[in-house]
Formats: sequence, C-alpha cells, structure tokens
Amino acid sequence: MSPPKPIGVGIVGYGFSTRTFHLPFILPNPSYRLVAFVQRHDAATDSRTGKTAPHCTIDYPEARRYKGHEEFLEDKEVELVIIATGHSSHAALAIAALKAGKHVVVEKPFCCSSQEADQVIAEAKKSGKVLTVFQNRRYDSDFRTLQSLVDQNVFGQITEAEIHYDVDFPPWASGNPGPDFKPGGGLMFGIGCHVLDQAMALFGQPTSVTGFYRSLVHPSKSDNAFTIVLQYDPSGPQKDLLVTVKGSIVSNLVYPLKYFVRGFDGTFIKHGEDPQEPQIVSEGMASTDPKFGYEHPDTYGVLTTSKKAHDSQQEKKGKWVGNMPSLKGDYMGYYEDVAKAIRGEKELVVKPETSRDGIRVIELARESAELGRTLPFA
Amino acid sequence: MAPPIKVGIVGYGFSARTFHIPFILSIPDLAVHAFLQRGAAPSVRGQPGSSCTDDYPSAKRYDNAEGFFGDKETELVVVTTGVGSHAELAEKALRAGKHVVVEKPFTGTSEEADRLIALQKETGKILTVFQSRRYDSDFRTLQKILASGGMGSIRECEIHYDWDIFFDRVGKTPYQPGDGMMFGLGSHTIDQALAMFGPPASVTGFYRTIKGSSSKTDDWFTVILQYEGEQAELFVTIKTMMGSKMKPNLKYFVRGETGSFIKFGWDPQEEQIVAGIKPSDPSYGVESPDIYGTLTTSKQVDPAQKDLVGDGEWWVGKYPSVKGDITDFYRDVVKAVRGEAGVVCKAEQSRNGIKIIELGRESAETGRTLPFV
Repeated sequence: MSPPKPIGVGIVGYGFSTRTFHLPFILPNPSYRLVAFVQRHDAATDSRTGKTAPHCTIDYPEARRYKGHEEFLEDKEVELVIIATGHSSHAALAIAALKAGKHVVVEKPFCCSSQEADQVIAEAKKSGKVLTVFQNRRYDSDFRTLQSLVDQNVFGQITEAEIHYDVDFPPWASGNPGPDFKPGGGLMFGIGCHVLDQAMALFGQPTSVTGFYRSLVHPSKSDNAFTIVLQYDPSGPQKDLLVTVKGSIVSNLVYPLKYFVRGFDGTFIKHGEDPQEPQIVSEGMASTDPKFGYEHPDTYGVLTTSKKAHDSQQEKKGKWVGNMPSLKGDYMGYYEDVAKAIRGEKELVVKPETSRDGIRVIELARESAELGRTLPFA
Repeated sequence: MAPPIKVGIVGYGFSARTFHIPFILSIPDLAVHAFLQRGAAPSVRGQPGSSCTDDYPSAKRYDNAEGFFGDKETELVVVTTGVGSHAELAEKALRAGKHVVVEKPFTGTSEEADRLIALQKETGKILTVFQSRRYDSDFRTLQKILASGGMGSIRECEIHYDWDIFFDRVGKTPYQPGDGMMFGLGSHTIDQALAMFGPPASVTGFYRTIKGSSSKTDDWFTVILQYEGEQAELFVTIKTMMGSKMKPNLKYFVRGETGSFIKFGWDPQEEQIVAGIKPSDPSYGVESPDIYGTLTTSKQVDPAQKDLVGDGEWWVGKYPSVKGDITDFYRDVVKAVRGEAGVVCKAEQSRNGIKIIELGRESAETGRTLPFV
C-alpha cells in the first residue's frame, strides 16, 4: 500500500517562531510537504551591517511566497495553514483560513480574548476542518515526565501542583509595555498560556480562579509577573486540589524551578527547562539528531514516594528517593499528532476548546486580581 | 553578677521539657523556681509520666493557679499550656506583676491578644511570645542573606512548613479558634514573614481539611500576603501541608531582582534536644551540609559560590547555614527583663500573626482578598 499523500503546508509568517518551532518539525516529517509562505516584506539587506534578515525566498526558494493571505488561501495545494503571526491577527487569519476550507494550526496564544476564541471554534465546527493550537509545551521533556508520573498515580491523591514558567529578564518581556494593558499582551498571554494549558491537560477545567499580577520595573497595567490559583469542583475527586500557576521575569537561578507537585504518596520537584528550543537555536542541532530532546541529568527531577515507584529510586530514611530521568522532549510528536488528526486516524490531542479555556482563565485572573476576589470559572 | 531571674513554668508537658527548660537551665541568669502542674504529667513517647518535682526536686510545685501566681519570688512566668488557656494564664501572670513568656500561638483570637497587650502597657512588665523559630538555623541564614543585599529587592518569598504526619487534633469538630495548622505551624512561618517584611496590606487564604473532611480544622493551607508602598511588588506565600512525602521538605524559595535562595530541610534543634543533646554541645544547632541552601546571585556574595555557568553572570553555591540557638531567645528575654534591650519577639507582632490567620480563614471562606488591619 502506498504511503498517504503528504499534506500540503502553508505558513503565515517567517519569524523566529516559524523557523524555530515549526519548520524543524515539519520538514523531516514525510506526512507533510512545504508548499507556501506568507511573508509580507521583501528580502532586505541592512545597509549598515550588510546582514540580510531571514527570508523564505532565500531559505526555501522551492516554496511559493505570497505577500498577503488572501491569495495564499486560494492556493489549492495548501491544505494545512500554520498561523505564526503576532497575537492580534490570530483570530481573523484563523477564521479566514477555515472559511477557505483549510485545516489550521494557530500559534499560542490562540487569540486575544475568549470571545474571539469562541468565534474561531464556531467557524471550525461549520467547516468540519481540524482546528488546533500550538500548545507545543505539552510535548516538553519535563511536562511529559510529569504527565507520566501522574498517569502512573505515583502521587496518590494530589493535593498541590505548582507549575512555573520563569525566564530571567528576557528581551521580549523586559521592555516598557506602556501604561495600558492590551488584550493578548503581558506575560500571562505570552507564556502563561503554556503553563495554564499544562495545568488543564493534567487536571481539566477548574471551577474557580484567583489571580495576582505585577508589572515589575515599569509601572503598567500589563503584567510581567503573575500567580494564578486554580481550584476544582468541591463535590468531585479533585475538591482538595490547589493548583498554582506562576510566571515571572525575576528568576535568578541557573535552573529555574519548574514543577512542584505533592500528593499523599509522593512528591516531585523539578528545575530546568525543556532543551529543544536551545538545541535548535544555540546548538544548531537537527530535530532528527538522536540526542535531540534529551535533558542534561543535572535537571532531572527528584521523586520521593512512600513506596518504590521507579528503578532510579533508593531507600532513604523510610522513603524512596531518586533523580527521575526525564522523558524525551518531542515537538515532532506535535506535528505527527496533527497529521493523524487530519487523516482521521487519531483524536485531536490539543483541542482548541482547552486553549479557549486557558484564555478565559487569564481574563478571570486579571479580573480577580483587580477585584481581590476568587471568581467562578465560567 | 545579678541574681538569676526566678522562673515559674505553667505546664510540664513536651513543650516545657523540650523547648523551655533545657534553655532556661543553660543560662546562669535564669533559675527554675516553680511549676504549676495541675494534673499528673501525661506520658510522653511511651515513657511513664513524671512529676516536675521528680526531675526538679528543688523547684516548688503548685497544683493551683492562686498559689503559683501568688509566689512572690517568681519574676518571670512561662506559659506552656495549650492555646485555649494562653490568654487566661497570661492575664493572671501580668496582673500578679510578673513578666510573661507565652508559647505560640500567642492566643486563639486577635481580640485576646489586643487585651493582653493593653494590660501589659498598664503593668509595664515584659510580655513576649515564644516565636522560637526566629532562632532557627535556616531562618537566621535567610536573614543573613537578606541583610547582605545579595538578592536585591525581594519580589517573591515562599515559606513552607510541611510535615510527613498528621496531628491528632486535626479533624475535631466543631472548629475552635486556635485549632488547625494555620495556628499550629503557621504561627511560626507567618511570624517569620512578619519579622522579615513587616505587616502586610492584604491577606488571601486557602485551606483544606483533608483528613477531617467535614471539619473546618485545617491541615493544609496557603496564605498569600501582599504589601504597599516600597514593597508593593513583593509577593509572599506561606504554606503548610500535612502528610507531605518529601525528604527533605522544601523550606524557603526566595527570589529577588539579583538573586535567589532555595533551601530544603529543617532546623536540627528539636530533634537534637529530643535525642538528649544539650544546647551547650558544640554540635547543637549546627546543620548538616546536606541541607545547606543554594544561593544564586549576580555578584559573588559568599566565598562558597562559584561561577558555575562560566559566563560570569551567576554565582552559585551552597550557602553554609548559620547556627540555630533557641537559648538566644531566653538570652534576649533576660536583657529585656533587665531593661538592657528591647523585647525582640514583640507581642504586637504575634498579635499581627493571629490577625493574619483569622483573615486567612475568612478569606478562604469568602473567596476574597482582605485588607490587613
């Protein structure tokens, strides 16, 4: 039986995200064929430095290049559209692509408001095409490791989960945001959407949201440090669970704290980050390299349990303790799952409804912070 | 040398024997003078109960409050009973003209605390609370690092006190003020936050009664403190979980603009006292290097730090812990009683701690962040 015809891919935007998070995981995958890009500006050389900014026509001359999305969406060979533009254009482009009969992957954050997200989801239902969001951090090494521990029930009843995403004064979040908050702006939208998505993938929809935020360094109603507390159905099995999702640009640690999850049977604490982005950007490693996605053992998490749960553990004062080798980070898996969903072979993993819920949590977190109240999730 | 201050101790249970008498005995400025021990001593750790006079034959033993507080030679009273009787006994002591050390939690309600503070002002005697964990090795270490300025302005401070076990008194209905782990352990950690950062501007609380289920007695809590003015960017989280399976438990996770400190484990003093090690022993209060915290700063603050990543951006090292010593609590009390120094563990601070607990419970029940008043 001959392999299925590759899915034609068109990408809107040719920035850092496209080059780092999408192309390395699409190109090696025989389920896909790169067809086209939308890149508004022509290739340009900086007369001062002599440097040419990255351009799709230089790097992928065999692909078509469109200057605008209208013509691009008429290209019949483009079956899957990846939207890798700035946040404010996500919803409009996603709706246009769905109306044009395409499957769609939208970069995170899905949209700038839950209302926009609802509109895009409604359009996807009408079109019958696959709509998903690039919640790639479900495929992070550390998250996959935590998820496997939760699935194996090593914690027993989980009472607390703390999920962090701290980045030490990154250039993309350290500038002055101005006094106002713009929907889609701030750290909650920028990276909170990743950790909130992880919380929802593990624990489902919350029933209440309590939010706190700060704008450190620059006075602003935008946020660059936040704490979001999620609580769950008081009549269900997660009634005692409290999940804290945090992010901050103040993080002076070599390996930032990532997860701290506690249950009656065990605790897992982990520092560090998934290695895939630095491997692509700093090491120039190919996504197909056998070392790709594997963490340095220094960042393995510590698993403590009352009964032995993993071979890496040793007995220590009545508990079993060990450095838990992290699972491989697998952004290739994101696109493998998308291909299977498009082909109807497997249920879609990253559902747009979950991402919409994440945006709703962000909206409620801001409102909660401003009112000083815990708000019901609705 | 001035004659030792005569101490009268109310209660002769685990607290008196572990947390007070060993330190009183090791200071020549204090003398164990009398006990108020109403009933037979409860058995402790499988040992048969003992009477205080079996262990301290030269001390006076009273079985009634009138006699005990009427003893004119007693100058300093130490109240080591359960929280339910703290206010009553402290009041009797102050009215009898004595200086008073009250075990934590200070009182069951902030109202009781306010009354005692007002009474203290009338009598002019010393009123202090046994916030012993200000003298813990790990807390002193954190304070030293803060004083060095190596971490810059603090933005986040997470303080934990988690136990592997559950205490028996959790789960009893109905809830009485003074019950639950916010009082039991939070009285220590909230006090540490007050000692470092002063009174907050608001309190947000969450709690669970996991073991007791229908009870409102908490065995798990989170209290979030926020601040005003120059500390408006500070965010403090105080947590306790009973039944935590982690060895060693997380204690502090503090982040400032130029550094961070993360520490696991506990101050060793309680374990050492129970094992029979005396405060005068050179190993007393000294932590094992296994539980030193990790200090990361943008400039080197301690010779133990190394330029780990090799790019000069961060200096990282295991920061040697400072010695813990509850004896210093009593040394500080002696100085205060003699008028040589002010009271270190101020009753007003402990009153604020009780107020934070009350607001923490109310916040949890109403789903609101409440202003701290």
